[in-house]
Amino acid sequence: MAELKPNVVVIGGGIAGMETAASLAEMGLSVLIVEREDKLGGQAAQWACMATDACAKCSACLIEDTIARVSDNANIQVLTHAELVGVERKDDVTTLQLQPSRGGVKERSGHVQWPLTEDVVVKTQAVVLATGFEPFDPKEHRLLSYGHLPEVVTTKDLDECLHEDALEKFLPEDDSLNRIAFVQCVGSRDRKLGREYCSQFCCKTSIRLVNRLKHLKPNLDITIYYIDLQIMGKEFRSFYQKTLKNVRFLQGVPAEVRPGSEVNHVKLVGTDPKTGLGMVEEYNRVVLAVGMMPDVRNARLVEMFGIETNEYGFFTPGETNGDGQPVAPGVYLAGACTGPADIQVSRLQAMAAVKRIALDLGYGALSEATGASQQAEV
Amino acid sequence: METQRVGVFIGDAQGALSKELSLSDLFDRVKNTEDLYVAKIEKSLDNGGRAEISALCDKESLSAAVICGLTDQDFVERPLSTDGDASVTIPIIRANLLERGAWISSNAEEAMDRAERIIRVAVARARRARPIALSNRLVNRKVVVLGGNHGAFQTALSLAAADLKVTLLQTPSPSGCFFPLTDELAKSVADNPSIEAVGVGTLSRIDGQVGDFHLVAEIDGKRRVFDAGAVVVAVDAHINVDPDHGLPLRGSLRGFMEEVNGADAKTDTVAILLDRNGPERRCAAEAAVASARKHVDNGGKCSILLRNMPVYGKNGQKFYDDARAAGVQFLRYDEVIPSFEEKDGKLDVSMVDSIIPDRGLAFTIDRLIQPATVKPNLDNPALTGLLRQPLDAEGFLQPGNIRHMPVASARRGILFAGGCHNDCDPFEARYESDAVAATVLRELPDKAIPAPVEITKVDVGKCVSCLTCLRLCPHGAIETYLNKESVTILSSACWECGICAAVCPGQAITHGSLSTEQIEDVLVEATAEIHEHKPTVVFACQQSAVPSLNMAGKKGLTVPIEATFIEVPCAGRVDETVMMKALEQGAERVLVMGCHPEVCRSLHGNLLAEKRVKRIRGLLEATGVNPEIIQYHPIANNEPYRLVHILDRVIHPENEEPTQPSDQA
Repeated sequence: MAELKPNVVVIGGGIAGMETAASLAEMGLSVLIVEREDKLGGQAAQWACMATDACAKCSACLIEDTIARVSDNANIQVLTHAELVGVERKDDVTTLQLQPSRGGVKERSGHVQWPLTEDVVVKTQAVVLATGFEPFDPKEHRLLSYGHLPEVVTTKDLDECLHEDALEKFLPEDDSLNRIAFVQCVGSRDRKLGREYCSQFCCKTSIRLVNRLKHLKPNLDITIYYIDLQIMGKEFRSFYQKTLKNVRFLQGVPAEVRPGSEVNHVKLVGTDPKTGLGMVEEYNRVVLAVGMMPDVRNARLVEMFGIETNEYGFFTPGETNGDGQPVAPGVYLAGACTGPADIQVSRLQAMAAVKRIALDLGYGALSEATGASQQAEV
Repeated sequence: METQRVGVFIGDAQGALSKELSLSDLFDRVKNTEDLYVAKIEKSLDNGGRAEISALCDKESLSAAVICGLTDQDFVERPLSTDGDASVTIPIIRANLLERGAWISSNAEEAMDRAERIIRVAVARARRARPIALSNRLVNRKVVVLGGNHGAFQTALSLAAADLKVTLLQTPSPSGCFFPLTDELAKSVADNPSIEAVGVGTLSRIDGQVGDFHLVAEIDGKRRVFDAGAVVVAVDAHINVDPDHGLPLRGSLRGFMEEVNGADAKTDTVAILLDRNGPERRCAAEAAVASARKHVDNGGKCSILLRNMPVYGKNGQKFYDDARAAGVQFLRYDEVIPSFEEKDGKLDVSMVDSIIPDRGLAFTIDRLIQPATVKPNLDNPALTGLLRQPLDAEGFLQPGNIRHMPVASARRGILFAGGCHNDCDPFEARYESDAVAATVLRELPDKAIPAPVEITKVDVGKCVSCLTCLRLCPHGAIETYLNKESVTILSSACWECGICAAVCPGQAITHGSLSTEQIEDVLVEATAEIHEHKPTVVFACQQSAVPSLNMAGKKGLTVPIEATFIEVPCAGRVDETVMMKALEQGAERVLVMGCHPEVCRSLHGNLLAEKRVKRIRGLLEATGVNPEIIQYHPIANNEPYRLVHILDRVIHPENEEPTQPSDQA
């Protein structure tokens, strides 16, 4: 059986995992990325560019940039189509057992990056969990009719149409079909579902999508139904101001989507925020802004590594830290597996983990400041 | 320069390429000649292929290598030989056919023509490629942190904890700061032997480059000089702790925070007004909820009047729910800002509740609390000049360019933290200070590493010190000294975008990885007819158009055969001369494809290219030539379908129906 001995193993090849790996490798450490899918990139690799007349700061293109950084770095090895099946920690060394993921390799063989074909044992000093999230499946919300009415799609579905530069897959080329509703907080801030957290990226995603749609098709008439708009992050305030002319914002999210009088028409049922009375509005398409859910496979990792999750199933950094420190001996966290995070926040967390790992593994120990740092670390 | 022998190494270790292209036919087309050495590499690069190529380069005394056909995992670019302290590496031009998807075609003969063209273009580029000299670079591992508040102190501690020496230059902050500097934090900084606080002063100069900056500051009327490897700007935003909006009986949120946590906490009825001037800053909203909660716990009454509750952040929703459960009243207003009227030492509040709009709300409070206003620091315009990095769209420091966010900038070694560049809460600020430290560790390695020296060169004889390059270099990589007659390029700061070479009016700058002579050589190949078609030359930015093109290839999409791609490091490298040259030499059209506005890695390289295209179009129009023969199109690195659609539309405008992508199978 093959045996690998990288300094660091990163579980998950999404933005957080890749940023962690690339930064550590650029410092000279050897890194192995373990990705269970057939290629690097994670969830965000499916996201479309949201630029209109200018960049919308969605950061989706950083996936490709980071894949290039990872691919170009000789200190990084990537195993795709690889599943973690066993973990053991002894004398400051973690031993991981990897198996090829179930099922065949889906991509064209020549274009798959480094698929794992046999069992491998890996010995390492540090493991970074960067297993990301899963988008909420709105089928759990029966009243929203996702999967029943073709007019109801998710932000993820819309993103895929835009990625293919095929808006007609979302909306037929018919000028009379121009009323679009975005429904925010689907699967987020929902007490009934036990998901009371804000998914943090959906307000920004919807606002960017609206601008992109209006850019492609100026005659669209778009409404965003929201609970609280999260206008956060660099330059987003001014971006939001510019959006106001493109969209009607209505506070309060509709409870139900019903079939309309004919194809391409659906009814949104909710409460009118102006009158407080019941309200029915007709749209041609309803876009559900789906939130982030913890990955269902987190439970296994929790068991393997002896770490904790919060009440929603995201990994928790524990009481004492939250800035990249290990959660168990030699185990670090980064990105959306610790809770909802967009691309830039994931990178920020990845870099915090990078700093901690670099120091824990002795990078910088040769510098003259060693004595001072020991005092500073107390 | 004398033309030397170039190597072409074709390999297919995984056999993926030969499924679709006949490699033996390819060898019939690209043959050994006096100035071309062609070899087949059986092994993959990582399993001995690299050593084989390296040995062949030495044996045949090749001046450059074109590597193509090797599979995805093989396209890693690495120096082929190193020798002691300094080393020279021969340039490698990638023409990896598996990556470069432009050869894909349903017609085998056409595919072969396209593949040959990709190799020929790469060989033409390799002809005059310059060897890259590497030298071990030692860096200064001191870091200057600029700023006198919470963010600066926290960043200094984070850097010190990462074994770095920190010089803390405090800046005067007449405007106050959002989070007061706690005694605890100040003491940690004062007690840390790795941090030297040099007093309060103003920065007046930053010269040099990452690993070797020289700063000048005025401290207490004296001029002081500091050396550093990196500079972290952590000054605060312009914070008005107690803005006067003409409201009666008001107090500041800062004061309220201190009061509720202090010994003399009151138990009166207060309201906190948020969102008055647009969406509230997240730090303000969080501070409002926390202090309201504390006030209620102390036995007082508190309502928060707001438009949007920021629940952003890991425990945002819980924080808000807990406050509500503890008795904090959240009241939403919509268009109309609540009004306040003073009466008998109290305030009558009237507002329209946006949840139950028919019901006007009227109640009486003892005091109104309002948060600080946060605006760009008044010193930002001066600082942005020193840093040579533009402000963002709202006037804060650090350009709003995602390629350098969250903490870095286009000028290597210049980093940002805290309120000067972004609004974040203390939780995120901790991550930020660590991200700064991680970036510094990466930029300032603790041992000497081989780095390229002098890639892009200035011809001292031609340079007239007009400083156009200095003004337009987005990376702060060009310097001038009064006692010198020409500018100097700082190789550690240089990103090889080539903007300087394109803008130099005297053509005194030779771009390291793509000189004008190289482009001219490439154009000879690129403008040759292919399958009886006149080609369309596409100058494709390596940060955007090239990855999209490669992605299109991986998805099996076909680009028009006329499109001949010339890879450029940045659209800003493409100057008018080479655009015109392409047309002169017989290109049907010229397309320049760069990043979308505001996301160019070199900040404005894309805008420069677009401007040049516009200028040429204007000239063409004025002389009666169809301006459509030259176009600029922005593209991202993840838009393969859009790229193909644009090329189809531009090259075949006669087709009304856009070509359907061929990956339907």
